[in-house]
Amino acid sequence: MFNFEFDGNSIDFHDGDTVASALIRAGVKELRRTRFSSQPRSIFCGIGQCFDCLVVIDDVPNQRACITLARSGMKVRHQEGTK
Amino acid sequence: MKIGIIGAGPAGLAAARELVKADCEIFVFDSNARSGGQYWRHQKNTEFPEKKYSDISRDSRIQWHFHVSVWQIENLNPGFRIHYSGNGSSSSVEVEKILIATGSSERTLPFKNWTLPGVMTAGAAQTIAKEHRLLPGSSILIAGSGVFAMPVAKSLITLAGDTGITIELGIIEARSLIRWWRNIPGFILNPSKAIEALGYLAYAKKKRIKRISRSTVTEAVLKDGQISGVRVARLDREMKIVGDSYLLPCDALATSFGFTPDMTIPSIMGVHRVFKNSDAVVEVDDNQRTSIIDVWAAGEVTGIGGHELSISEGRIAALNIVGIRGGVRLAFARWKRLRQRIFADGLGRIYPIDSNWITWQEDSVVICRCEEVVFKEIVDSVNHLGADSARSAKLFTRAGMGLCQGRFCQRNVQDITERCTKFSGVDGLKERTSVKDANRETVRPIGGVVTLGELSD
Amino acid sequence: MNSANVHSAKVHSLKASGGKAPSPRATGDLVSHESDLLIIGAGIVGAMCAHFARAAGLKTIVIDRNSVASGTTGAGEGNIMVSDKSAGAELELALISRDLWFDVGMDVGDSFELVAKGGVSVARHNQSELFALAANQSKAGVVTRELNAAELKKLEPFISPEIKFGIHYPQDAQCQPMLAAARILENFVKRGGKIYSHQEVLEITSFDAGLKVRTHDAIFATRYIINAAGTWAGEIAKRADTYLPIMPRRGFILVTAPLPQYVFHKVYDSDYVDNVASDDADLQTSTVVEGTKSGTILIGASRERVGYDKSMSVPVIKKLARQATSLFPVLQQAQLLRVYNGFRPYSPDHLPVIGEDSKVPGLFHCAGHEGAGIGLSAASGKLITQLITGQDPLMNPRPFSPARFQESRTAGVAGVHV
Repeated sequence: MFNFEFDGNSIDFHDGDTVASALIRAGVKELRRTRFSSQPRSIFCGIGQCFDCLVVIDDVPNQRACITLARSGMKVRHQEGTK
Repeated sequence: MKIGIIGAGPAGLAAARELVKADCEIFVFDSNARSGGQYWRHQKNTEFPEKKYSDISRDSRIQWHFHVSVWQIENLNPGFRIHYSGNGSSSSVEVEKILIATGSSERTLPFKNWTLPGVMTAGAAQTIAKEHRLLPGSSILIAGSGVFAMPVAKSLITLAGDTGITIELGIIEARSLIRWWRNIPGFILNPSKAIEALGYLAYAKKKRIKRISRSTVTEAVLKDGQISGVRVARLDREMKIVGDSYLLPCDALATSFGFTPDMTIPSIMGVHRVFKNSDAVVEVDDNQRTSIIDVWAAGEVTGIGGHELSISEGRIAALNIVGIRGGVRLAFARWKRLRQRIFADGLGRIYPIDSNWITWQEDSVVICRCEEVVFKEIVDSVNHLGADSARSAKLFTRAGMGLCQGRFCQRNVQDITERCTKFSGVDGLKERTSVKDANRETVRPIGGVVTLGELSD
Repeated sequence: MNSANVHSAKVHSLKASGGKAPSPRATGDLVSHESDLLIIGAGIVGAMCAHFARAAGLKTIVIDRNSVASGTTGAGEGNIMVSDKSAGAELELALISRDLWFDVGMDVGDSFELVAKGGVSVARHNQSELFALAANQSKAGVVTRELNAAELKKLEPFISPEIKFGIHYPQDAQCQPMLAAARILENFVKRGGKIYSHQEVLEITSFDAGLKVRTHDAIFATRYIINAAGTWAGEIAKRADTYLPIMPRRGFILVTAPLPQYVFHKVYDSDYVDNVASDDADLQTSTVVEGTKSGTILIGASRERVGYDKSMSVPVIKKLARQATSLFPVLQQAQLLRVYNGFRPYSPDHLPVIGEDSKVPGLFHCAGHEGAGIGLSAASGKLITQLITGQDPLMNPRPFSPARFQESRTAGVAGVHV
């Protein structure tokens, strides 16, 4: 078992998990809020095509959680708009 | 001979299998972490369902480029330069011939609150189930139309069984369940499909999958920050809502209205596209050749047809690439392709999407998810600003200008603008017709994600 | 209010009445229309012409071979700039136009993201040239302010620390050009104007009361015509049996994914100005970077004479990306969302053509604005209206006169590269 950080919380993951699958398994419902009307979003297409599952990883925004493999020590944040 | 294959799904792999026999130097590109495409999604370290494909996926004569974005392909006349990026840098490789096998993406239709967490595509539900052994919820509804619902249901139920979790699962289908007679020729020519269909019927009965036909989800309902249910309404034969909607509880909703070919790489390359059953597809000849010399296309990009048809097309393209003009193998592949196409076209008759889905919409329903453009804005852009196509509606409303570049909304925006154009106030001279040119409407100059830093190297 | 109900009701009523509005083509007749003024081109220039002409009391019709903003306006960045021009006729027009834009904005409504965001021109090497240009512009009425490194950083915190000097141009402004054209024309129609899209001009002929424009299914009889067809203005001139040398200069714009605000003004390298004035057919690029209301960052600009080649160019894309990241290193991580190109209409002396044709009375041209079409459109629209109605022109129109290209040409000579 490994873990990464999401909004200050520790999230466990298996080898092969994406950031999204680990967060979903941990019960995280919302990954970001949209930039115009602050709507909550999570995964939609699951394969990196819809760009809904955006999170901030190690201070870089617009990362697709569903295709980014989870790594030990990652700092993931809920994305607000563009940050 | 250097060949570039864009897409490592069934079509791309089938082609690679043939090309490797002919001693070609093969480069395969895929944005996923491994081959298999969307159809063969399996867990890391597990085998392909068919040995011949797991063999090819490990063939060292092939240069595999996974987790990359093909963002441009230059036509060098002769030859091509494929630009691909990933992991912080961008590289390129020159090839003599190209096979486009980039597959399809799911078609979704909007409804109120469909952007809420807990609502995902049927493909997403299948992906997290098969790749990560994760269930999206415990009371799951699969809503939409088409043949995809059953395989997804099966994946979820199987996973639930394997992991000892109890789930409730229901399927909501927009069309009647008794439309299969429209594809009788297809079933006769493809008996395995008939067996498969009957198999699913039996499975649904055995697992007590609740199936509601001639209905659609009109709204996702939120409670305490999560999806708690959906409103469902009955549809008539033209997919218009009849009667009142009722509430069905659920904690996850998977939605899918079929598939639509992915035109990203085709439009970058500029191959000629046409409309087929309202989908923009790459036009190919009998040998899977496109309008550009030395460029072939196979699989869903030439028209939605399922993985077996993709394999047939990939094989035929490869045989043509290496110059095989006749023989038993080619003839057999052609026959397979023919009967599989007949089946695929028949499916289109069973599950067509009527543009009356537009009548389900309310002003505030989000149409472009990325840019949060709502239905009313698009209608207004046609009626007040003179938009007459998805492209011009995009310029005025930003629909399709977001990160997904219209992959999930362009088709729907096109339907809306067509409908509004046809019936909006005639502007003086003739009934306005919307502009519907497959080659103009599906231009996406950048193939995938590439950063400015990667370009700057 | 539910739009769907509204228009599905329309669907029902159309079905009930058995169908379509009578189609002129079905009967074989050409529909005729009359007006005081016919404007060819529903881009930003045509829209501004329509706005001012209608206000001056001319009964005006706008036609376009496609629909609103389908040409260069649809590929524009929305620049309303005075900073990229040195003293001369174009700068004079630009200064007036810039202020007129805000008048039009007040009139039509705040619906196209018009904002006086200001521009910052920076220098890496030739500081003296930059400051000399600013002095020259200042004399002509442009507001300029010299910036040292500290002041520059205050205006643009994310700019590369290698950049030490700049000039601030507070007058530079920005809009969303397609929306602007559409909203201005919407307003024009609301106040009595008419637009017909998908009307391709086949022929323009004279008759006793004025000019006749023939399309596939209509004839427009009018006293005056404004040729506002942008990059295709030369083609329109040909169909009127006259001549106008307007040629396409291809430009690319890169668009990033939506980002937090890293760029606060239009920012450009000081050799942007030279670039515009140059005659080189080969690729030239200079950096122009700016943010938009939607959060995306636009990066330009390149200039090439490659005819109407709409294909992508990887060397251009790479060069623009490199220049942008050297100006703003924070953009290294920015995802490139899309690239689009368009054709700037330019004339041999890089000045627009605004005025009456020297051969065909009643035919006025308002085209060839190159990369400044958006910015110059307001004053061009007002000026051409003044020339048509005989009012005092807002500036001396002579430098823009079509006659300067038409003196020694015979009719019918092709002057446009297609």
